[in-house]
Amino acid sequence: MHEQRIVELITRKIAGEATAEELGELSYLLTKSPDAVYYEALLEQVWELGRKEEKPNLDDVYNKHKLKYKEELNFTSNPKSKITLLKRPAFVLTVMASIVLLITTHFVKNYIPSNKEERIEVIAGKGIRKEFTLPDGTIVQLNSDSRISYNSDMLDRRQRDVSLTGEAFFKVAHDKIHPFIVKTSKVAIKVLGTEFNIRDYPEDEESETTLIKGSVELTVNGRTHQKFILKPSEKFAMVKKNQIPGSEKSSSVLTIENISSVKFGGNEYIEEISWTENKFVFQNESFEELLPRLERWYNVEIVLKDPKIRSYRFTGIFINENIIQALEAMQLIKSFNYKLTENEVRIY
Amino acid sequence: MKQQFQNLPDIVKRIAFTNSEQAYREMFDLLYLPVKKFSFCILRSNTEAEEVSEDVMITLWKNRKTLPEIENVHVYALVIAKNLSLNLLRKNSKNKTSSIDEVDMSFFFDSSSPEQIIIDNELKIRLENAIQSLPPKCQFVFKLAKENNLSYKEIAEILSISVKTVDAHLVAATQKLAKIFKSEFQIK
Repeated sequence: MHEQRIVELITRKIAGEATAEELGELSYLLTKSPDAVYYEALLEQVWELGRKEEKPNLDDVYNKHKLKYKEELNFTSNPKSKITLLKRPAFVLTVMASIVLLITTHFVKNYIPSNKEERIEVIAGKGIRKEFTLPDGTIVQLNSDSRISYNSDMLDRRQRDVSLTGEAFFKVAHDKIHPFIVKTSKVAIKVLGTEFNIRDYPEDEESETTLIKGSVELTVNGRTHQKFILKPSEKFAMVKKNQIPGSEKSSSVLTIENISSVKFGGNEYIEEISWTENKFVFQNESFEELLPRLERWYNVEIVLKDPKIRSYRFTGIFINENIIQALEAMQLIKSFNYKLTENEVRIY
Repeated sequence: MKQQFQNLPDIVKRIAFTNSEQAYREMFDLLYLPVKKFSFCILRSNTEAEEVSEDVMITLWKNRKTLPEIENVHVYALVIAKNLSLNLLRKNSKNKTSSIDEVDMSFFFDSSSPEQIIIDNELKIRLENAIQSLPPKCQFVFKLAKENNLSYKEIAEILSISVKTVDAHLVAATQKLAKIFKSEFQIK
């Protein structure tokens, strides 16, 4: 699927010309198309072909060369030149400069602590959910097709920074002195100690932040003067509307609303974070809205073109159903057909 | 600058200030073969490539006083080699070949080292043909990047094209190879 782009990025990597961003994009794409690692191995082999490391002796060649150009090659190699060598101001200056440089490098290397900060990245592939702990004790649950990155020296800094693409649920470790900040492509969330969920997939038009416990301060990237404070059970959603023709700006609609639980079969579920308990919950959502979530949850591609079917609304919860069982359950509510092929699900 | 040429600036300074034979020999050891290989790409003749390479070395010696001012002597040497080779080509051939586009390039994968378990000879031939089906400039960029270990910027300078073009050529070449790998190894 991403083959062309992957090969393009591998080329730059092997040539030593890939930027850090491109390397990151490459490792991300490789998680989506795991077979493509073969391209990297094979292209690297190709690169090695014809790379003989031989260092043949050029004595004969050189001597022939010296003889041929005897006139032009007027070397000076008598001892006298050694003294004049030292007297040459330019040479002396170069030597002094090198000595100073040598001392400085030695000093820097040995007395200044090496600032080797590494960017650590945790990736959850499609259909996979991961839970892990950050160096500061914050527990993170990463949803399918999501990626989180942070600096290895996170604890040494003034604030705890984390970048997120996709969806994650955070249980942030309390630390009043060091605010915990999550950055996505659209928003930045600053917290002190709290539990919240962020959903911001690049393909989605909307980004959602849901607060369960504690409090957060949210700012929209590019509009940092406007701060939103969320209280527990509040949800901040940002939907990007289409660009107004003729203008540079695209408008977004920002809403803060209360989250309400979905009551189903005698139990209550909070839709926004049910995925952390491996439950897929949806309430009165159109098929169109559900498509990306279904695709991620079951790791399939879904093709649904019929506008009427796209507008069908569903309320429900999937716990252990596979994609077929899920579709058949949905068919009980609204009538449609589906066909499963090797690569995709067609709904018509 | 690549690892192997990191001593070059110092060597060049020594030649400029002291006319030292030892320094010249060191530069010779570093540049003679890469320049010869590069010229061979254009001239397809061993003797002519040697001739050009020696010419380049002497030119560097003659300009030794100004060499320290040049940022990348390795690239500079290859640019001289390119010009000398094209001149020689034009002199020799009846077709007045004088541009890289008309140069015939073959043998991109011509070494056989025992570690190549995955890529066997038959596959090598197919890969070879694939590269040869590309436009000449594309082939040249591929060969330079692969064998001479040159950066995009250096290749661009030597061939007088933009860095973006270098990238485009290289990616075009690897896309061709990837296609063959895909069918050969059934990569999804």
